[in-house]
Order: sequence, then structure tokens, then C-alpha cells
Amino acid sequence: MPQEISLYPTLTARENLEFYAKVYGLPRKVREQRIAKLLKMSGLTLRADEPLQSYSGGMKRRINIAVALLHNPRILFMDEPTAGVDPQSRKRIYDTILELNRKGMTVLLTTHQLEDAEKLCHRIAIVDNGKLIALDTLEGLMKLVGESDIIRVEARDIMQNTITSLEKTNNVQKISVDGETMTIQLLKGREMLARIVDILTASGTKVDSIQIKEPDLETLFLHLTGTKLRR
Amino acid sequence: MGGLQIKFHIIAAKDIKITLRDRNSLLVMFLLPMIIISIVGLALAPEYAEEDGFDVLVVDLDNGEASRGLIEFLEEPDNYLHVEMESNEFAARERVKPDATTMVSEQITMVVIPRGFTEDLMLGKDVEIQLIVNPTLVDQNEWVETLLESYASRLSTSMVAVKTVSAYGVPVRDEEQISKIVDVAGQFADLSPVSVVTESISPADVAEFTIFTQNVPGFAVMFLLFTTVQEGAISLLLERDSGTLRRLVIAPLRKADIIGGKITSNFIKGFLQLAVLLTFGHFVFDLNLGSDLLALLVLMAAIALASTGLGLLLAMLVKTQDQANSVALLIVMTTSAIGGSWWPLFLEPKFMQDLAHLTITYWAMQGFYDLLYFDLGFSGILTEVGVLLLMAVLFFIVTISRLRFE
Repeated sequence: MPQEISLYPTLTARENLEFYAKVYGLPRKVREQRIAKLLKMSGLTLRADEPLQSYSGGMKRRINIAVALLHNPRILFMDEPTAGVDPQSRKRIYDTILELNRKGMTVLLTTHQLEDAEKLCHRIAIVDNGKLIALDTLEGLMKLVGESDIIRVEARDIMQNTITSLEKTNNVQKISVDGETMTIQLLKGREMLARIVDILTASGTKVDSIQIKEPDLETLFLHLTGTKLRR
Repeated sequence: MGGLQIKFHIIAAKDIKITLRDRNSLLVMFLLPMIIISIVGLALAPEYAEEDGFDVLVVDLDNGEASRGLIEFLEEPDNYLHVEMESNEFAARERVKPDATTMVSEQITMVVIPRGFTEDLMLGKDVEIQLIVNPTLVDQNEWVETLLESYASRLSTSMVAVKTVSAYGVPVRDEEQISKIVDVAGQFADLSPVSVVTESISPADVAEFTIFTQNVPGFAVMFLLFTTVQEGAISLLLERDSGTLRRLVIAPLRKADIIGGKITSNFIKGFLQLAVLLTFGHFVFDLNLGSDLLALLVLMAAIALASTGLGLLLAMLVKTQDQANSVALLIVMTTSAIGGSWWPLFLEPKFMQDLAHLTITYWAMQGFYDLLYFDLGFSGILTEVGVLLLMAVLFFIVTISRLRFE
């Protein structure tokens, strides 16, 4: 299933499904049954006969997935299935993916949404600049991070001397800065929070917000690559 | 899942369905050419119509026997003139003169018979018949001038007869005698020992050539090119840009099915477009479709195939839809002008007529002339159909050689 909505906007959802079903050589009876089932799964039966150009982005993406499922693939490659999608559609897509997987379909999901990967995937591969740098279950990957926490600071005018001071601080493992966001990977985040705030205040950094997070895939990504995830 | 089944018809049906939903496309394919054909045809129809006569104003300042004779001559039915008498010479001149800024006029020519015309003729003096013309009415002026010159020649013959008789010492005493000599001379002149016989030859009976014989097929071919070349190229590029082409490539489809589907849908659209426009021309403007409808269908198919091939080739040569748009417009407008869509080819200089042989439009229009005007039937269009099919084959070969589905 490609990231773009690779469908024909002036045709209806049903017509798009019928077209691809014929392309895949499905006999008529099978075609009709499968299209009805996929429209139901997508929650779009009632709007099946409207042109696709009248659909929202999320609805189009649901039909995009439905088309990919027409021929009952054993392995489904999904490229950014929830990109630009409203929350209702996103949940629906999650549910679909989980349901498909429960029924025995292997799903290979490409995403920048780390929370999607955490929620849906049994195994996660991390690719950076075209290279595979990690592949394991979530639990296995998080072991690489160890006990690290993430402190995210939103601040204006983050100076180099501030970064240098922080890097020299005990327990600080890695720092990355992206515009007005500084991400600090460190041990014992809660205990270190006050010290971090002191350093920022002393350096005159105008802090807008500070957030402390448990280790997650983003922590892992930072740990493995030294940079924040490029979305 | 039948990966070896032929499936190009699925792609073709989908494309045709999309076109039928696209109101803008249908407008350009059918309604717009019908409007253009109607406007151009109705505007130029009088230029192509057979003349039922020219209008002539006659100012007779003489009112004599000779001037009456001239007027009677002008009024003869075979001379195709509508003669109107006008007593006021100045007013008559104003009617002939075109407007200084618009050049619009009453489309009328004027003949002035001078005072003393009859008497001067009787006395053997030289006389002048004045012809006052609007210079824009070239054909009309030429016609009236020729008529007057032929009449003047007859009069001159008669006067030469009188002078000859007199020169041989035969006394010519009175008007009655002069009149008799003139009548006899005129009778001899009418017998006309030297005459011209005109014979018209043609390979077959030709139909009437009206503006619609030119502009219905002309604009039909031009708008067909817009459909198959411009829209055809863009359709393939749009599939690529939207990602649907990638979906088709990874589906159990042969590349031949994808290209075959595109060829089929564009061909059908082009063929139908020609059929609708020619039918429109026939029923609305009485365009003669010739007696061999099968030949006409074959010609239409060859034209649609050649232009479909050109559209696909264009899709292979350009990178973006915008490029396809621009290049297609250039191709269509240029070849339509040179190839004879807008005007009969014989109006062009020789080098352009030669250049036109490279265009689909030229062969299409020659084929239409052969069928719609000369009614030559299938044997008359073999060359045109052959060349168009050859063009189609060449376009397809180059297209397939450059085809990369990546």
C-alpha cells in the first residue's frame, strides 16, 4: 500500500475497488463479496458510491488500504498508512492492521510515527540514512537504551556554551538540538531535573517548557544515531 | 489469479469511464468543436456559395437607343446581373464607395452611360462607357468589366462595319442606313465563327464544395489531436505522478496490458469524437459523407490510430504534464495550420504544401477530400490510410523502445 493515495479520484470507492479487483483477476462473485467486506471494514459502505474526490484524507487512506487487501496478500507492505490522517481514521487504521495481523497476515509497516510502531509492531527495525541499525522486539531494543531518560527542553537562543555545560554534567549521555528544541538523554532524569534547570537558568537560556519522559523509541533513536528523528 | 490473461480492456474501460465523468473533457471533445464549426461555417458560407448574380447600378445619361440596347444586354439572364437604374450619378457613386474606416460597402458596381452615347455612335465617334467599382469586389468587378468589354467589342464591330462601308465610297446618308448596317454587322458578330467550348473533367462526379466540406473534417481532426495527443499524453503522465501507474506495474499485469489499455481507450475516444463531429456536420450542415461509409470508417480509424500513437510517443519524450501540455499545443496548432485543417491546402505556398506531408493532418484531410468531395471510395484513400497506419506503427515502435516503467 503506497503512501500516496494511488486511486482514481473521479471514480467512486466501489469503482476503484472493482477496477483493481478485475486487475487482480478476481472472479465476479469473489469480487463482489470481497468488496462488500472491505467497504464494511473501512466503515465506508454507505459512501461507497460517491466519488473519491469527495472523501476526507482519512477516508481515502482507508480505501487505499482496502485496495491493497483485495487479493488477500500474505504479506502487506504499508508505507506511512496514517500520515496526514484524522484521529478517527487513524484509530480505524490501527484496528484494521491489528485485525489483519490477528488473522495471520504479515504486515510490514513503514512509519515515522514511533507511537504507531510501539503500539502495533512485534518487531521493529530502525533505519537511518538507508542503513538498518537495529532490529528486535520493542523490549529487546529498549534494553539498548538502558535506564536512560529523556528531558525535552523548549527554549529560545540555545547557546553553545549552554550545551557544553550540559554535556559536561554527570549522567548526561547525549544532547541534540533542533531549532528551539533540545533533547537530553541522561540517567536518573528525575533526580537530575533540578540540576539541568539550574544550568539553563545560569546560562540565561529563556526556557518555555521542560518535559521528562520515560525511555521510548525516540530515546532509542537518539541513543543509536545521536540525532533526533527526522520526520 | 490469471496473470497471463489479457487485461488491457480493463484499463481501457476505466479510462473511458473517467473521461465520461470529466465534463471539461467532454466539452472540449464535442461541444467546443461544434461551436467553432458552426461559427466559422456560418461566417464564411457566403464566400463559398454559388453566386446568384451581382448587383449593378446603371446611370443612363443618354436615354437613347444605344444605351437602351446596352441596358437590355446587361439584364439578359445569362449575364447574372441584378440591374438597378439610378438617375442621380452622385448618389450612385456614394453607394459604390466603401466606408473609409470599415471598408464595408453595398457590394455594388456602377455603369455610367455618358450623354450623347447613341448620337456619337451613329456619327462614328469614339465613345466611353464608364465602370465605377469598389476595389474590394474583385470577382464582381472582373465579371462586369468582361461583360462590358464583350458588348463594347460587338458595338465596335458594328461601327467598324459602317466606317469600312464608308471608306469604300458607299455613301452613308442617314441614320436609318447606319442603323441597318449596324444591325447586319451585329448579326454577323452574333454568328461568332470563332467560339470557345469548355469541358470539365473529373475522375468522378464531385459533390458540392461548401465551407463545411473543409471546416467540419478540418476542425474535427484538429480537436481529435487535442484529445489523443494532448489528453492522451497527459493521461499516462498523470497515472505516473499520482502513483496509480506504480500500482498497476506491481499488479499481475503485463506492460503490454497497460500500454494496450491506453492505446485502446485513446483510440476509441478519438474515433468516437470524429464520428460525432462528422455526424453533426452531416445532419446540421448537410455535409456530404460520400457513398462509401465503410471507407469513411476505415479512414477515421487510421487517423485515430496515428494520433493515438503520437500522443503516447509524446508521453515518453516529456518529463512533466506541463511539458506535455505545451508541446502538444505546439504540435496541434502547427500541424493543423500547415496540414490543411484551417484552409484548403492549395492556398499555401508550395514549400508549405510539401512540409504538410509530414503531418497527420495532411493525410487525414486528403482522405476526407477524396471521400467527401470526390467520392472516390475505398480505392481512393488507400495511400492516405497506408501512410497513417505507417505513422502509427512508427510511433508505437519508438514508444515501446523508450518505455520504462520504473
